[in-house]
Amino acid sequence: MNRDIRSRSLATAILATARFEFERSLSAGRLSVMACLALFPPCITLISILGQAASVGQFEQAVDVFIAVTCYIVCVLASLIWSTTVVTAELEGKTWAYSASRPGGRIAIAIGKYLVSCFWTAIVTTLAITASLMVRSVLIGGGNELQTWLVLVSAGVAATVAYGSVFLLLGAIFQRRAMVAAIVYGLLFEGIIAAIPAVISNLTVRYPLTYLVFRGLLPDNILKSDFFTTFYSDYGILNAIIALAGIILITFSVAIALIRYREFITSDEA
Amino acid sequence: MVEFENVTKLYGTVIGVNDLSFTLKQGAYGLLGPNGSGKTTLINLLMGQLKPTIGMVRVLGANPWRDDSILGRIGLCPASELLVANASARQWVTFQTELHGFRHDMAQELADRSLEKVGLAGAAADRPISTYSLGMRQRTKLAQALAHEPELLVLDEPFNGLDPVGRHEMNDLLRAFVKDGGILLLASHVLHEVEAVKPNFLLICGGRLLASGSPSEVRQLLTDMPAEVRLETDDPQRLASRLLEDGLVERVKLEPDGAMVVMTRRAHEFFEQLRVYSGESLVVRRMRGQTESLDELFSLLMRRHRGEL
Amino acid sequence: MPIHDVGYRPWQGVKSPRIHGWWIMLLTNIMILRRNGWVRRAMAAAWLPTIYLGAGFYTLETALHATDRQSARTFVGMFQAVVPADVIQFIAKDVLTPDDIGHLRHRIWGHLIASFLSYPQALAGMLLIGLIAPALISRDLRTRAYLIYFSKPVGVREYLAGKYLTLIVYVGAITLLPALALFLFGVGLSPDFGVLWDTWDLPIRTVLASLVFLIPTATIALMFSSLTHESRYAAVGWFVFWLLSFAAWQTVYSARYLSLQYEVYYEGQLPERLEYLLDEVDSRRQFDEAAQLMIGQYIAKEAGDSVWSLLSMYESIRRVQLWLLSTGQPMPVSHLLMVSCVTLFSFVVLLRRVTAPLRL
Repeated sequence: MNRDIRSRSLATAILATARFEFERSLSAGRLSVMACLALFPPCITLISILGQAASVGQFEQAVDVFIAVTCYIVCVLASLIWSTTVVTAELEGKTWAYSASRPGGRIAIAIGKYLVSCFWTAIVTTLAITASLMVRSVLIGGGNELQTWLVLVSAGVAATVAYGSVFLLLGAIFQRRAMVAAIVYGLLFEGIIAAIPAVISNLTVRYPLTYLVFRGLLPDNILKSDFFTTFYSDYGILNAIIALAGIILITFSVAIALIRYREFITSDEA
Repeated sequence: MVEFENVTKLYGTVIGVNDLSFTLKQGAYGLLGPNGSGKTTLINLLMGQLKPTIGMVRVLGANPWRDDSILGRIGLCPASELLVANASARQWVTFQTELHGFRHDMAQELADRSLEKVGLAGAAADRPISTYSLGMRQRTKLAQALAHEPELLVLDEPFNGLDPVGRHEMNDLLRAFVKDGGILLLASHVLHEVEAVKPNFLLICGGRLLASGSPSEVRQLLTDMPAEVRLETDDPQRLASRLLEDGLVERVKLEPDGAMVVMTRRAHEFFEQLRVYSGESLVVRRMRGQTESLDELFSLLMRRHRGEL
Repeated sequence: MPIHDVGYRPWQGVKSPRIHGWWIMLLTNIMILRRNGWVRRAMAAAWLPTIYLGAGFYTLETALHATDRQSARTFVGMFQAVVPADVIQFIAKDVLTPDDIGHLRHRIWGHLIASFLSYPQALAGMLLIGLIAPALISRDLRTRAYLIYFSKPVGVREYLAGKYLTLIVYVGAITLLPALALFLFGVGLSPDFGVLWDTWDLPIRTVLASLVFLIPTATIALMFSSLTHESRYAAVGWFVFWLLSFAAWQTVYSARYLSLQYEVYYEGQLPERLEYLLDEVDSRRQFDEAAQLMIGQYIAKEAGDSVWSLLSMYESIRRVQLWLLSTGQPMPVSHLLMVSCVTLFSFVVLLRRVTAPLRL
C-alpha cells in the first residue's frame, strides 16, 4: 500500500498542508492583521494627499510612487510575518516533530506553508494597491489607473514570491531570532545595499523590482534622465527578470535543501 | 527490524548518545532512562531527524536519515506537549495522516478510526485542541501515531497525563499492536508504567546503553547488583564476624554510632541468613537497604560501568 | 525515643526585604541573556557608531579653533549633516570669541549626541529590544512561570520592575553609556577643562534624553510580550509597530517635502528672510553649498512641521530628545504628550495582562 501512495505522496502532502494552513489562517487574529496591513497604504495615500504642504501639479506622479512604496512595505512586512515563521512556528509550537516524522513531511510543510504565506501576502498587497489607487483616483483623478494597477499588482506578486523565498531561507537558517535576522536583512540589504548603484545591488530583490516598476510607471523623460541612468545604466527588463528569477530559484532551493537536511533540535533533552 | 551499530551522536562537544549497539526485532521494548539520559536523541536518530556522528542506523531495512520514505511505516508519538492553534483533533489527525500521502477522504476515515481506538471519538474530537485536557491531548498524539497503521510504533512518555483507566486502555491497545506483529518502542523514566506492556528493556543512562533484557532479567539484575545495607544491632562485632565467616558480605564497616554497613552481592541469601541469626540471639533492630527503584539501578549500573563496583 | 521532625523546616536565617525581588529577577534575566551569543554580538556591534561620532567630536572641536572659514569647512567635512546649518555658517567665519565658541560647542555637542541617540543607537536599541523583549513575559505566560513567581513573596511591582530593568540595563548599555562616553571623549579632546563650564548640563540632558527612549520603548515592548504566549508574535508586533508608524510619517513627510521643493525651486516661494539664498541657488552663478543646505533645511523643517508627524512614535521620541539636548528650542508639546500617552496606554495594558491571572 505504501508504494502506491508514495508515487504522489509529496504533492498530496503539500496540498494537504496548504489546505490545513489555509483553514487555520482564517482566524479573527490573522484576518485583523491582514486588514490592518491592507488598509495601511490607502490611509497613508489619503493622508499624503490631504497633508501635503502645497498644491502642486507634479504631485500626481509622486502619489503613484508613494502608493508603490507603501504597498511595497506592506508586501515585505506580510512576507516577513508569514514566511519567516514557516519553520520557527513549527519549532516553537512543538509540532515540527510530528510533521517531520512523515515521509517528505519537512518539504511538504515548508512548501505548503510557503504557498499559503504567498497567497495571503499577494491578497493583502493587491487589496492595498487597489484601495490606494481608488483613493488616488477619487481625490486627484487623472493618470492611467489600469496600467498603474497592472504594473503594481504584477510587481507585488513578484515581490511576494521573491521575499517569501528569501524569508523562508532566513527562517531556515536562523532557528531562533529569525524575525530579527529578517529585519536586519531588510534594513541592510533591501534598505542600504539596494540603493547602491553597483553590482552588489543585483543581489537584492528591491533593485530589479524597482527597475521594473519604474519602467512601467514613469514617463520616458524621467527614464532617460541622468538620475535614472546613473542608477540603472544599461540595465534592461530582461536583466531584471533574470535577476529576480535567480534570487527566487536560489533562495527557495537552498531553503528547501536546508529544511530537508538540517538537524533541528526540538527538545532540550540530549 | 531496528539496528543501531556503534552509534554516537555529538551536539558540538556534548554527547547525546555514546556508542549504542542493539537490534530490535518484532515485540515490545521499553526504553528506560532518567531525564536527560539520551532517550529522545535515540528516538530522533531512529526517526532520521538526526544524523549519527559515528555509526549506522537502519530501520526496517533503510537508513532513515537518507531515505525518509521509511517514515511511512513508523508512527511517532513525541514527548512534547501538543500545542496546535485553531484546529480540532479530527482536523489535525486527518492532516497528519494526509502527510503520509493518503487522499483526504481516506485520511479522514483512518483518522476517525484511530481517534475511536484511543477513546476520543464523537463531539470531543471536533473541539479545538487548545481546549483539551492533558489526557485528551495525549490521546490525540497517539491517534496520529496510529492512524496510518505503522509497523513500528515509537512512543516517548506516552502515559503522561493519562488517568488509570486511560493507562489500562492504552496498555491493551499497545499489547494488541504487538500481538499483531508490530515493533513497539516505549520510552519512559518510570519502570512500572512500561512493565504493564511486558516488554524487553533497554536501560540507557548518560547516553550509554547500560543493560538490556527481559523483565525477569532486569529483576535478576536488580537482585544481583551489589547492595549496601545498614544494620543496627546490639552486637555489631559478632554479627559482622558471622556474616564474613559465612561469606555473605564483601565489606563491613562499623559506624561510630554502633551501626554497621555491609556490602553484599548475594542479597537474597543474605536476608535469609539474617532470619537464621535472629534465632541465635543476634537480633537486628533496624535495617535499611537499597530499594529496587530504577534510579538506584541506574546509579549502580553507572558505577559498575565506570568500574567503581 | 524522640521522634525528630525531619520534614520541611522554614528558613531560620535573615531574609532579604521583599523589595529585593526585582533585583533577583534582574540578575537572573541578565545572567540568562549574557549566555546568548546573539545578544553579546549585537551589543558589541552597537558600540561601533561611537567611533564615528567620536571622530566627529574631534574634527568639529578642531573646526571651532580653525583660523579661517575654509579650513574650518574642511574639518567639518563629512560631519556637516549632523551639525545645524546655521552653526556651520558661523564656524570660524571670523575669529570667534571664547563666548561664541562656548555657545557653539554646546549646540554642536548637544546636536551630535542627539543625532547619535536618535539614529544609530535608536536603531540598535530597537533591534536589541526585538531580540530580548518578546520572550520576557510571553515565555512566563507560556510556561506558566508567573504562577511560580507570584507564589513567592514577589508582587506584580517587583515582577515588572525586574523585567523593565532588564531591558533598561541592556539597552541603556548601548545608548546611554556610549552617549556619556562620547561626552567624555569630547572633554578629553578639548584644549582645557574650561569646556566643562560650557557643557556641564549635557550629561544630565543625555540621561533624560536616553530615558525618553528607554522608558517608552521598554513599556511598548513589554506590552507586546504580555499580549501573547508565543514570543514570535510579540516580535512581529514590535517591529511592525515601529516600521509601519515610521513608514506612515516618512511617506507623508516625503509628499510634503516634494511639494515644498516644487514651490521653492519652480515657483520661487520662500520667506522674505531667505529670499537672498534663492537668488544664489537659482542663478547658479555664485552657487553656494551652504545656501543650498540652508534652503534644504528650511524645506525639511517646513515639511516636518506637521501634525501628521505624530503618526510616528519614533519621530515623537526623536523630537523630544532633540529638544532635551538643545538650547532655545521650543518644547514639542504635542510630541511629548504623544509619547506620554502611548507609554501610559501600553503600561495600563501591560499591567492588566500581568495581573490577569491574579484577578481570577
